[in-house]
Formats: sequence, structure tokens, C-alpha cells
Amino acid sequence: MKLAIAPEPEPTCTFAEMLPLLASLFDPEPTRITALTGRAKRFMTMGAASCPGRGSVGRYGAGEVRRVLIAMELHQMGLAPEKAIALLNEHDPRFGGSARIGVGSLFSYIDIDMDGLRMAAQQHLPHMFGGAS
Amino acid sequence: MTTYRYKELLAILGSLNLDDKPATIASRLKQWQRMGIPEGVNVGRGKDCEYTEDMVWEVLTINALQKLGIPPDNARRLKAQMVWNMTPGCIEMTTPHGSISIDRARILKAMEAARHD
Repeated sequence: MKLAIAPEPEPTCTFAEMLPLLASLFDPEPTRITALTGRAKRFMTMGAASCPGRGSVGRYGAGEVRRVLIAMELHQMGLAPEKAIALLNEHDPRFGGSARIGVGSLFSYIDIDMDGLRMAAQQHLPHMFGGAS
Repeated sequence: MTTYRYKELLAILGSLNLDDKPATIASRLKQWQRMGIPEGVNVGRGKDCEYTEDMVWEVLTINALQKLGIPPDNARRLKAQMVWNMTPGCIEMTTPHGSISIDRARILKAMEAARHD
């Protein structure tokens, strides 16, 4: 008889678990946490992460957390949300990969400190970002 | 003090935005003018605006940021509030987790070319 070994499920987190990470990076003021939540959820519905729909708790994998972080970082730099999501879809930047997101222009560039984002993610969600993802 | 005429500014923008039609660039410039970009552009009726170097740089910075997907209002805020480091070849703004850089050498070349046309 052969024994099938089920693959280990990918570690995930809920939005509530992700929120302290977002707050540490993008908005340290506790009074503005509602605005930060709204902004993050907006990015998720725009395509940075999958949305579970109403009535169920969403669980997000490392790739989705990474996409939300990068989209919010681009927005922090002044990019319109639609453009941030479009860039994300176009480049799919990864932690440990190139930090530069070259944008469709010959004379202007955006660099993102992916190591900084990865370290913050490791600190707040060690079960998901133990190694480079 | 070196000043630029409207047509020269259009030529500079045209040489930097090769993928845009001249009419598109002209409309964009008109839209910025309505928004007060660059500062001092609205001189009143019947007068030509002479663009100073500072004004041209303001337009070109806003243009570079718009090319990255940053809307003009945000671009103006970034330009005013953030610290921009200028080196001979590059203008760079750093944020806690990244940076935006503009190729200054390329823009200077376009400005020089427009002066000699």
C-alpha cells in the first residue's frame, strides 16, 4: 500500500494579523488605523490580494502580503492606486530579487527597498517570512 | 537670465516624451497651466509667458513624475514637501523604503537642444 503524503499547507495570516505590519510601515499613528485599514482593503479589492467575499475570514499567503506591501509603498510614493496595481501586475517584484521597479519612462525610475519590506514582514509575521519569498 | 518660450518648452517636452503626440503634450501643458503649474505661468491676457529655468524645471519634474504614474497634484506635493538631492546626473528623492530618481543629464541635454533649434 502506498502512503500519500499531503503537501504542507502554505502558511497564511488574517487581515488582523497583517495590520500591525502595515501600521509599522505606513502609518504609525494609532488614531489613523481606520484610514489605513480602508486603504489596505481597497488595494486588496483592486487586485493586490484575493478577496474571500462577505461572511468568511480571509487568509492571505506570503505572496499576497508582499503584493499589498508593495502596492501600498508605491502609493506612499505618490502613485495613483490603479497605477500601483498595474505596476505590480506587470513586474511581480519579489523579496530578494531586484529592488528596482523601472517604470515606462526613459528618464525616471522608482526604486523600492525590498529588503526593508522583507525585514519588517519577517519581524511581524515570522511564521510566513522565515526565509526569502 | 535664460528664459524659454512656450514653443521651446513644447520642444523639450516633445523630445522627452517620444511616445506622445505633440497635441497631447500641448493639452497636458495647458491643463497644468490651469492648475498653476509652473508657478507664475498665469501672467494675464495678451502677454506671452517667458519661462525661467526654474519654471522649466518645475514642468519637467512634474512631467517625469507623471510618467511614473504620479498625478500632478501628488507630484506637486512631493516636489514641495520632500527633499530632493541633486547630483550632476540625477535628481533623487528618498522615502523610508524607496526612492524616485529622475535622469537630470538627459533633461539638461533636451533643454540645451531646444535652445539651439
